[in-house]
Order: sequence, then structure tokens, then C-alpha cells
Amino acid sequence: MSFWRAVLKALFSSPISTFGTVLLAFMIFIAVFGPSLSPYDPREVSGRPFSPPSAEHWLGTNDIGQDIFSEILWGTRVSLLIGLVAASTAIVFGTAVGVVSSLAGGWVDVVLMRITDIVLTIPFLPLAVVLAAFLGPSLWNTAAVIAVVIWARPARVVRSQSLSIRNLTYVEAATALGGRFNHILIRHVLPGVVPLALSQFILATSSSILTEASLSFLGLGDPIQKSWGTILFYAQARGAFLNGSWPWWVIPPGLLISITVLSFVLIGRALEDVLMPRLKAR
Amino acid sequence: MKKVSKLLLSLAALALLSLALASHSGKTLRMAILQDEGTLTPYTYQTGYPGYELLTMVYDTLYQLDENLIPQPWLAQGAETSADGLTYTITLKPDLKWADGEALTASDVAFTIKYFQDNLHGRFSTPANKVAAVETPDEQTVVITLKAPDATFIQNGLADVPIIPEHVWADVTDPNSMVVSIGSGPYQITEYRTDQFYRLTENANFWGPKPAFDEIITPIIKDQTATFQALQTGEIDVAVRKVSPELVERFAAQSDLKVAQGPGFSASTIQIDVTKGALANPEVRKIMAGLIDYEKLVENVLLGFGVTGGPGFLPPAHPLSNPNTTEYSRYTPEEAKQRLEELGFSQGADGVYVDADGNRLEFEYLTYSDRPIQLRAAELVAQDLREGGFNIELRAMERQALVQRVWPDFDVSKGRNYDMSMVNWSAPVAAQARLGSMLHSDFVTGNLNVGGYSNPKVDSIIEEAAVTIDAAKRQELFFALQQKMAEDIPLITLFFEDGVYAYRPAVYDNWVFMAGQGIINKLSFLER
Repeated sequence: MSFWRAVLKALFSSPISTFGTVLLAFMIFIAVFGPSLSPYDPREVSGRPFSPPSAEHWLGTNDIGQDIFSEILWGTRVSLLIGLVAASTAIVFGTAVGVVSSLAGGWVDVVLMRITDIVLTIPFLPLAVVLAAFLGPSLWNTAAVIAVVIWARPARVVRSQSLSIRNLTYVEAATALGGRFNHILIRHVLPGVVPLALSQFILATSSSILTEASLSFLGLGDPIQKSWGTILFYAQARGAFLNGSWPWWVIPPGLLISITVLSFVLIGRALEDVLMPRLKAR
Repeated sequence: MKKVSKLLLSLAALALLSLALASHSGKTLRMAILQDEGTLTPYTYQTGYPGYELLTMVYDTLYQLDENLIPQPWLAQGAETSADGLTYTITLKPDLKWADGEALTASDVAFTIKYFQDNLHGRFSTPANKVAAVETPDEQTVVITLKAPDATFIQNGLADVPIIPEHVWADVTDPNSMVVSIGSGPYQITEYRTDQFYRLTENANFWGPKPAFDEIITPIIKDQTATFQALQTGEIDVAVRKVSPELVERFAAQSDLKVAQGPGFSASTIQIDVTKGALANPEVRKIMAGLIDYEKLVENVLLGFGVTGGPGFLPPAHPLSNPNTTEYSRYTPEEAKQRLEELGFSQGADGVYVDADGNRLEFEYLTYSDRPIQLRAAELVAQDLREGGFNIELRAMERQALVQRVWPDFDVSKGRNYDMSMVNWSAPVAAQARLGSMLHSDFVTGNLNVGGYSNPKVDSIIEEAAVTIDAAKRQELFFALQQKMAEDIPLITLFFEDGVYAYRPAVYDNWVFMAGQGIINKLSFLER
């Protein structure tokens, strides 16, 4: 209970983190209620293609006459969903690798950490691009690709945290007293690791959203799904930069991506500061 | 990343142009092309468009298609065809010369045919292999005897195969690495930099109409945005790249640019595996075809720059197009559902129809993930079909992956693994009316039959048309074929995109729009 209270406190610990929290709450609101707020079905052809903003279409229409405002509202859900799914997969996997690696030690540690190093050193976006092209476009493939390229960082961070917990005197004492692996793991290590994993999760979500947008923009996402990235993909592919429709077709989804990523980063930092004061001290 | 590379590309193009222009006065055309075309010989050019068009600026054919796609004598003065359709006696124009000054004679023509027979070429060997024997009674006369009568021999053979010089090619054993490109056409290559540009200059030995330019420079610009920015800012005078619908208005409004527009023959179709489940039933296919709102596709996806497809495949502008088969019979969703019920289908709990055995009318619909026009069209088509009681699962796939499922290794004998798929047929398929390739059940004759369509009656019409020389009779057979297509719906033709091209009229305004193909063709680069 006190943990969640600490989280809550962290969210509003400073003006900056409060700002991030409000922005994120706004985004989540759009993701949840956006579809019911949107004036049109985003798949319906509701106007002339390439209409500029008007009273009927606040952000104009896209290349086949679908309402861009509605597209963006619906796209929020897809973009956030992919971000959350990819980030949670990556965090669960990364945390598992980090904890197992630190507790098992020996060759398991060596092997897992070398693999982690390899993933860390491969350039992030090119790897994602290659994987996405290989797997083919679909919502879940995109999430999987993102998870594959971002799990390594949290694994590293969690491992070092987990190592330092394992070496604390009271944990050593528990081990000396015959505490089993599971006991040490559940009673001592995980409680110390979860707050860290949570802040890593927040940061991972923001980079997942950004990666999804990049992949979709490059035409490697699922162009059938309406996400912020695919809106940008169609804008670029159908000449928004040449025919002057970019102010209402490119800027709004771009802005939403920036705002969302910003809010996640602000919150992530705040959580780190409050939950992991030792990180701050270093 | 992309922006930066675009910027670099345009800068590179600009630098090249200023370099190229610095040393020259006189009439020059700067024409952006799409990609490198190798050493631009008949064996090394890369693309059907614009590669072949560039090739024909350097090489001549015996006949040349005019703007209505009718073959006109070119190197030939004319040809006499024997009554049985087997023998063509061709007289060459007098005093023809190659760009290097050597005389072009009948033996060069005979050599060309022999060369394409001996050295396989994807395009030119096909007509060459129809030839049984070539004789050259004198320097100006060629007598070609075919193995079987062929109504398309002038169009697809004499007007397509570039004549190559015997004195250059006689000793070439590996034509795919040929670097010397000498032809008899209006221009010759004077400079080539891989992946950068070609410089074509007027061929003083050309026999025919005067070339319209002293020099044509063709920077290679691969990116669409960079290409059209270069055109807008005046770095280039014309682009071989088609202007996509959303940019037409923009370019038309710009006073120093002009837009040439005409019917295009490149077709967007839905190919269907007609051997599979409910899709094997022509009545079901008819309902599907009838549910699609073709006008909406042309209006919203092509922004009006195109024509709707019909069951006979050939676009209305095509001379062999049957006027009765240019439109599908249409169904409203209610009519479609009623018709489905008449056929023994019933509505399932979720609105999707099922047959007597409980099989749902549920199909996977593949589309190219990198072609926004086809993606958007597929999106709208899927909606239309869903309203009529079908469940369509749209799936965007990377191009090669899609081809591998629809047309593995481009070889129809290897089968297929799809329900329905967006397939784009390039302009020559419609221009040459290759319905036989699309419909014949035999793997060789029907080498484009990716849906597995098979109908003995259709096969026999195709076989008869292939050996029919008489134009009226041939047209009759093609009309009958298209009538059959309307009954069977072997594929659904959605639309034909117009060809729209933009250029700077101040530099040159004498473009010839070749039906279905556009303004980039040999005739455009000659004075008239």
C-alpha cells in the first residue's frame, strides 16, 4: 500500500512531474473516450479528399476523404496500446533476465549479460527496421519488434539493482540462515526491483510509442491500423509536404506523439527520483 | 534520415546539372529518370518503363507504334504479308546508317533475329523465337517466315525488337555485360555515370525526322518528393515519374509548369483464387464484383484521375475493348444478400453469410504495404464487401511476400496460396491485350493466370484468336472472350490510373501522348 502511495506522491512531487501527469491523464482520456467523442467513423469517407479544416472537419480530411480529427482520436488508442504492450513485454522479459542473471551468477550471468550487451550495441532503429521488414506488417509484429529491441536496457539496470540487494548484509544473513532461492527472490529481491522496473516501464513505453510511429511512418507498421504513425505515413506517401496539407495533417499527430513521449519521460524521471533516491545520489 | 537523404539527393542532382550545363549551349532537355538503366543496350537496360523508352531513343525498330498504338513503318518502308500469314517480306528504307557511320542493311536485321534466338532475352527472344527462317535476297530486303501465323507479330515483334548492328555484336558472347551501345536511333549515348546520369546527344547519321534536342541529360532521382521539388524549382524540365493524383492540381496551378494527362493502361485488379471454396462459384464472384463502388474508388482514391474497370478487363480506350463489358452489373447490399440467399447461403449470427455446410464467406484480402493508392482502394473495397454479407480480412504485405503467395517465383505452375489479392498489371498487359496470358488454363500460354482460372471454351477462343490474322474476325473473338469474362468474373478490375506528367512548357511543349503509356516515348523527342 505504501508503495502505491509513494508512486502517487511521486507523480505530483514537483510542478514538472505534475505537468507530465496531467498530460498523460489527458492522453489516456483520449485513448479511452476518443472513439466515442470522435465526430465520424475514421474509416468512413465523410468528405472530399484533401479538404482543408472546416466546421465539419476540424482538421480537414485525408487523401480519401476520411476525417483526420477522428483518425487521430482513434489512433491514440492504437498508439498507446502498442506502446504499453511492447513496453510491458520488454519489461517483464528484461526484469526476468536481470534478476535471474544476478541471482544465478556464474555462467548463466555471463551468457545472459553478453546477449544483453549484443542487443544493446546493435543500433536500435536499423534493427527494428530489419526485423519489421522480415516479420511483415501487423499490429502484434510491431509490438514484438519493439519489445525485442528495447528489453536489454531494463535488464541491465535491474541486474545491477538486484545484485546490490543480494549483497546487502541482511539478505546475506537470510541466505546464510538457509533461505531458499525462491524465498530470497520473492521476499527480498523483487520488492527492491519492482519500483525500478516501474520507472523503466514508463521510459520504455515512451520509446515504444516513438518507435511505433517511426516504423509506421517508414511503411513498416500495419498500414491498415489507424495509429499516429500510419497517419503520418499516408501524409508523406500522398504528398502532404508537396501539396500544402501538412499543417493539419502532419503537425497534429506529430504534436501528440511529442506530448505523449514528453509526459512519459517527465513521469519516469520523477518516479526514479522518489522511488530510487540512491540513483539520484549517485 | 529520409529528409536528409532527400536533401542530399536534390543537391547532388543540382550539382550534376550545373556541371553538365556549364559546357553547353543549344537545345538541351533535362529529364529526371527513376533509376540506373545499365549501359543501355538491349540486354542491359533495366526497366520496361522508362528504360525501354530510353533504349528506343538509341535503337530503332522496323516498325514504330504511333500515338494510337498502331504500328507504322519505321526502318522498314513497308511489309507484305503472304495470304497464309506466315511470310513477311520487308523492304528497308534506303541509305540507313548506324551512329558510327556503317551502313545498316538487311543482314543486320537477320543477325538481330538470330542473336535474340541464340541469346535468351526476357522480352525480345519471345517474338524472335516465333521466326522459322530469315532470308536476305538483297541488302534492302528481309523475308521472315514464321512457324505459325501470328496476328500480333508486327505489334509485338517488328515494332518492339530493337535492331542491333552486326559489326558490333557479332563477337559478343556475353550480351549481359555488353558496354558498347551503338544504334541507329535519333540519339546516341555520349556520357554515362552509374547511378548519376546519361547524356544523350543528337545522332548526325539518323535517317528520320530531326531530333528535337541537341542534348538530353537524364539525372537519376529516386525519390518522389525530391523529383517534384526539382521540377518545381526548375532544376529539371520533365520527370518520367507519373504525377500522383494529389499533386496534379498543385502543378496545374503553377504557371511555369504544364500537366499532360491521358488514359493510362496500368490496371489495379483484385485477383481471386477461383479454385477455392465459395470463390470457385462464379455467382459469388459476380456478387462481390457487383458490391464494389468503382466510381467512389476513382473519385476518392484517384481523385478523378482514372477510369473505372469492367469485367472485360481492357479499358474503354483500347481498340479491342468490348463496349458491352466495360461495366459490372451492380448490387446494393440488400440485393447482394438476397442473391446470396437464393444461392443457398444464410445469414450467420454476426451478419456474415455461411453456406449449407457452415463455411463462412470469409476471405483474406492481400494488398501491397508500400503502395498507398492500392492500400486505400483495398480499404474501401473491403468496406463495400462487408456491407454485403462478406467478412474481409485486409492484410497489407511487403511486395515480395505478397508475390510469393499469389504468384510464386512468377511461375503459375507453382500454384498459389491466397484468397484474394490486389494485383497491379503494368500498362503493356492491357496495351497488348494479353487476355490469353491472363485466362488460358495452360501454364505456358496462361503465364499470367494467377487465379487458376480454367474454362475449355475460353481456352479455345484464345487459341483461335492467336492465329487469326483478319482484324475484324480477331476483334470478334476478343469481344466473345470479354463476354465470357463478364459471365465468369475470373478477376475484378477496379480501375485504370490516368497517366499524368508534368513538364516545363517554356523548354519544350511538343510532347506526344501515347495512348495508355504517356509522354515519355521516342516520338516526343523528334521534331514533327
